[in-house]
Amino acid sequence: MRFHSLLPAFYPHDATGAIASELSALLRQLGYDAGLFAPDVHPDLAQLARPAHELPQELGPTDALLYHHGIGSELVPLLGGLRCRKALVYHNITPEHFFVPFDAQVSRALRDGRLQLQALRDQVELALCFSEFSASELRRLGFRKVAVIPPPLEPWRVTRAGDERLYRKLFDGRTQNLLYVGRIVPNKRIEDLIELTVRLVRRNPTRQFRLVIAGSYQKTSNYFQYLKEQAKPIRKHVTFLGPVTAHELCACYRAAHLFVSMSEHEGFGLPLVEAMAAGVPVVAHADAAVPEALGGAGVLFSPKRLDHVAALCEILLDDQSRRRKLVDAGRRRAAEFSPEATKLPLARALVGFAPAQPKRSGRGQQKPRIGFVVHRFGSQVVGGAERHCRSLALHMSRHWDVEVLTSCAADYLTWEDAHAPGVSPDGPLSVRRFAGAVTRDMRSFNALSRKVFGRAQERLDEERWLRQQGPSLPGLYSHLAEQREAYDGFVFFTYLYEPTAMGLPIAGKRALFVPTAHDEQPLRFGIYRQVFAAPAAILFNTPEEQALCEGLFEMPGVHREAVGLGVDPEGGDPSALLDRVGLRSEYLLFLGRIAKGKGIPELLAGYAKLRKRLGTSAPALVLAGHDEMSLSPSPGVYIPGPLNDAAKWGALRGATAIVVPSAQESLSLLALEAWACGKPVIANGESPVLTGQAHRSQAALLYRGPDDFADVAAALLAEPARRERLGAAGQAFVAHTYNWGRIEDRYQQLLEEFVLRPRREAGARALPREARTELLA
Amino acid sequence: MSDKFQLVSTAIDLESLAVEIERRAGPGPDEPPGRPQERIEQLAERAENEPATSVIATLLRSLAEDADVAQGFPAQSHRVLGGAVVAAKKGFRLALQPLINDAFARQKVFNRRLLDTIAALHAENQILEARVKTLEANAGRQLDDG
Repeated sequence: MRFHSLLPAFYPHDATGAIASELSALLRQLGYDAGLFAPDVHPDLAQLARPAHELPQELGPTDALLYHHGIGSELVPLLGGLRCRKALVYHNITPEHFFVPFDAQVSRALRDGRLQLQALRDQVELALCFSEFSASELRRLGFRKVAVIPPPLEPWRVTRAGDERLYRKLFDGRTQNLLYVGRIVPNKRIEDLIELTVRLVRRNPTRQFRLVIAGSYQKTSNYFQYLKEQAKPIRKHVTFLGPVTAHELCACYRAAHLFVSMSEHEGFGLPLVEAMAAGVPVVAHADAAVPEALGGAGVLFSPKRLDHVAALCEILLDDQSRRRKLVDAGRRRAAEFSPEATKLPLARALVGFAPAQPKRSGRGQQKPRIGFVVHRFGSQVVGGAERHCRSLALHMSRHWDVEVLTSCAADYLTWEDAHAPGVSPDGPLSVRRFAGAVTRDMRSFNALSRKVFGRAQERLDEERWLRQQGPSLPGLYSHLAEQREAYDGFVFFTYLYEPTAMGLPIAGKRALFVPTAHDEQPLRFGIYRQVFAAPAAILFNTPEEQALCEGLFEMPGVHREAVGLGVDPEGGDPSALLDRVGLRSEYLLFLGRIAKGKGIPELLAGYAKLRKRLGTSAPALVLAGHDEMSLSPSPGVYIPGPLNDAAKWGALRGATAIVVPSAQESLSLLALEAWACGKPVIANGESPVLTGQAHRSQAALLYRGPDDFADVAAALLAEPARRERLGAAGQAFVAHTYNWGRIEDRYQQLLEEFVLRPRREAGARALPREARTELLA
Repeated sequence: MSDKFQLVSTAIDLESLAVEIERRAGPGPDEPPGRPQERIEQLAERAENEPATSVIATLLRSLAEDADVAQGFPAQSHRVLGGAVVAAKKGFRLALQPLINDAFARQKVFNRRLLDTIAALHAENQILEARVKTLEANAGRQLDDG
């Protein structure tokens, strides 16, 4: 069964779209395939939603439609023609009277929206609301089944420091900022906030107040013109910031002394929750769903007697004890909201609406069937995580019935399909490939990355980035949602790519997760919180990677340990490489992608210094791999291109030492392979992982910067006995820690302990979804 | 809630807070603010140049401020080099102003005439409203008499 969400428009910074997207993600986690459709999609979000006219072709007889309603829409009359089960997601509709004096068009659309509720009542089997306020309205209108679920909010997103420049502009140490966040529309009653500020200024001539209003408005709208007129007497005390980015919003909350709301209509009130999360005391007029959003953690008042409200604000600005209590209560209240907190109520609400999945017969005493999910796969694919996945899949195929679920792509830059979709054998493995939905344009992807890295983001911005990161495999997500019962477990590889970010929450506690994470900007994206919280167990490559992730994510109930992988040294003739490049001297070797991110520029600078120091006696530097930097020839540097397995092991055995220049590693496979061949390693000491590996193995020398590289390499080259000693230590370390026998045993134990046994004990596989959901309830 | 100023919170003690608020707010009348319609009328009464007694009249005056489309909104920049960007924008606009004036000459005339037309319609509407009120009053009296 699939859930299709239909909404009138899908635009950035719009709460309806963000919630629809989040609900789709939760539905996938509950085991349903889910997607978004809208007649009006902003170009920036075109990859996250499909045009509404494609919906009728997509609808199957067992599918369900979630229609998101918040204003009059031309979609409503068309719903009757769609043959599927329907549910309403009601975001509430602002009463039209607020807009009557200002905007006849919006006022009409709101009236139409409310009238359309009557038509929707007879079409939908279920209505989902985010507040009891909305639910009671629907019940009054005669909706039969109405369920209230907490909105899937992520208020923690505003708790970062945010835009420092805006913060300094707002927070001068003297002025006390009253903040309001929200669209500038008549039901928010911004004019009452302005009047409140007038009273505060009048009552406290020696104090400085500023009303900061963060939210989008139309400069030419009648309401905004009206507010400007209202604010004229205290122009210096009122700041309209206009629409703010998530990064700027963090600064607004940080600079605020009090969050004040005079709103007379809220379907829920996300900014109230955000303010509480950010540690800002909240004062709000008690109306609509506002009391539900606050949950007692702020101060509600009624009626709007503004001298009294001004007195309340003065007290809460001055009284640190009361402020502290409100801040603490607010933080506790805000922590109650998260997508995870919505999941179970959503599952309960769907009982009776979503049909049960067909039961699958038991698999008897066969080997467990395990799906390995990875972004690309193949014997020719180079890349640390891909090689790691392939090696593990091949080794575990002795114990498990392994099916690899992957893309058709070979090139990780474009994700263009290079293989046919479908199932094909690969030695003992079965490989199921899914076609990519989009290819990647690196220029626009890099531009988007520059925009989103290093600052607070909205979820939709991160989803947009993730979709461009790719590879986007909607077929895989449908397969996981519909067929997950057919697998006994899953192993997901690499946190960074979309197949894991989208697929792992679907597999949930059936999955082991190998994140291969290192310290980089995307790891701080909020979208990965759900990914790291989803699996049964996370298998890190090193203790450093584990510490990094544990510092960034809460992973309650998820088993975590550093496991790593095995290394099988193979034979190989060094002369193959030497003949290929016409090299007859000693050489230092790097194997892997020749890219800036791998630390190659620094390595080349260090090698130039080494060569200057040693002259003609300097060893050559061989960089074997795909040259993404298009390096021009330089003395002593050889670039033979990618090597096959035999040539690789030959090159390793023939090298004087192996260089690992990347500062961003979750585990250096190259270092392990070097040590397996008894070779010393010269590694970048800026990488915590390489530093940890070097300390544990006692088989590597570390450098920091080009000068240091030249010093370290020169010293190592001058001492053959030391090279021998380091190589032998490395060999012993790999044989003890990274042997496949130990790794295979550990993977089997972890799958049994955290996936197979809990499922057997719960008897979950024997129950249909409906029964499971009831059990949860 | 009744007309008495009421508070709800589970985080702090409300009794002492209410007492303190009453003490600070003072005994004077503290009526809730008016609805937008009333406030626009108050604003209009405050205006010095032209007497205005309705929402439309106030909004018309606001519209008139934007009628000259050859004049852009104030140049702004949120970038680090904001001052330089604003200066560049102003210079660019100044250099092109003769062309802008020429391009928008007809639009300016149109906007002015449009405003005049709306004002005329509004005036006519007011006359009609007054007539309707008179007729309604007369009809009411006749019904009462009859």
